[in-house]
Order: sequence, then structure tokens, then C-alpha cells
Amino acid sequence: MSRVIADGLSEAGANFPAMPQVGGDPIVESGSNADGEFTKWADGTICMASNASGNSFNTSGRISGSGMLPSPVINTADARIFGELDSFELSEKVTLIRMPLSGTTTFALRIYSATGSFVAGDENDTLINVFIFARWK
Amino acid sequence: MKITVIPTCTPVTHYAFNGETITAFCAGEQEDFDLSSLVASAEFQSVVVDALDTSPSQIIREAYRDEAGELHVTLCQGVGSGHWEASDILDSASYNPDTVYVKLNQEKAFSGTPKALTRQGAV
Repeated sequence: MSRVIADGLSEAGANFPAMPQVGGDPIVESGSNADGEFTKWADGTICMASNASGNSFNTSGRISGSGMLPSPVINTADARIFGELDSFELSEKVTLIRMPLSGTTTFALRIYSATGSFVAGDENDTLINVFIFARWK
Repeated sequence: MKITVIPTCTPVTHYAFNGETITAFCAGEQEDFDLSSLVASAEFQSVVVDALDTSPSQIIREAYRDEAGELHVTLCQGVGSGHWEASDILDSASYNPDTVYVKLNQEKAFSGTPKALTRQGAV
């Protein structure tokens, strides 16, 4: 079993002088976990990269799913999410992709087609690479 | 029960195990999740959270029962700065709520002080 106690851990590898700054303020925090990567800036901005996939579909032309943020945001209304659909396998043309935040650590995924109905299996071909701008304070 | 712990931003501090029921602890509250009804052929989707102020995926991310009947569960442990990776697979009987199970990769640069959530808080 691997065991890591964080007390006394050094910031090994961090090279603060070489890191980008905003108005002279350095990056406050950065890292990655099972849900993606994040960088917190001193002015309250947080930038995150994550991904999501669909897990269900309906015959009205909608695929639904959800994703997790690697770090929480404080105000869901301030968040801006951009996504790149990494798939050529869907049976219908995609008309609209929505990824509204559904909480401070979660976002919903909605993929719509106005041209017809998705079919079973389409939901498994919907990997979306997500980039999030939001506020952490 | 076999468990794997993955690093996320969950506010859950620790878990307790009683048979196939997992109790999650968060901000002074606790909630039980009974996984005994999960049969080998079932595909886990989510638990339902009533008491805790977090999303289901930040508590139990994945679960399945193998052909031998043993339950395998992926739990979440909160982390901050640093590059964190999943734990090894462990038996729930050996789970210690004061232990950081997720692994810190110190070879990659990051900003801030690495910390993870346990029963003792952020350590």
C-alpha cells in the first residue's frame, strides 16, 4: 500500500521565479487529479482542463452526460466552459453542445442534433475535451 | 470489499465500512450507502445523496461486483495543489481514515503546498 503523509512535504519541482505572473502575483496553486488539471491565479481566476462523456440518449436528438471539475468554483454563474467534441462516429450532425455547471464541482453535458435522432451507442462516442474559466475566490 | 481511492476535490474527509455499507463523513455530517444490492450483472451509475453537501460522484465514483461476489468500489479523497494519482487497491478492512491513500507525483512541477483530506482535516 502506498502512503503519503503531506506534513513536511517539500514543494519539489516548483520553480516560482520561472512561472508566469499576473500583475506581479504568482500562480497561487496548481496541480492535477483524477478529474483534470487546474491553475489558480492570485486575482481569483481559475483555469481548468477536464473531459466528459455522454452516458444516455433519447430519441429526440439529445445525448446527456456529466463531468467533474478538478477544483471547485465559488460562483457557477461566472464560469465559462468551452468544449471540443473528439468524435467522428456520431450518427447525426451535432447542432449544439451545452455544458452548464450543475454545482461547484460538476457540470452537465448536453449534445443536441436538430437533424434527427441519435441511436444507441452514440452516447459512447462523445468524449469532449473541456476548458473552464471560472473564479476560485 | 476492495477499494481504490482516487484524488478529486471532494469535501468528504473519510469513510467507514460495515459489511457492504459505506459511511461517508463530510462537514460534521455522515451518510450511509448500502451497496449490497449491487449484483454482478448490474452496471453502477451513481449513489443518491440526501444528507451530505456534495455530489454523488465525489463520494463513490464507481462500483462493481466481480464474478466471485466481491465488491470493488472507487472512493474519492480530496486533494489540493500537486499532481495526484490513484491509490493502489486495498482491502476495506485495512482502511485507515487518517491516511492519505492517493499518491503525490513530485516529479511534476506545481505551485502551492500539497495537501489531502483525511479525518484530521487537510494534512
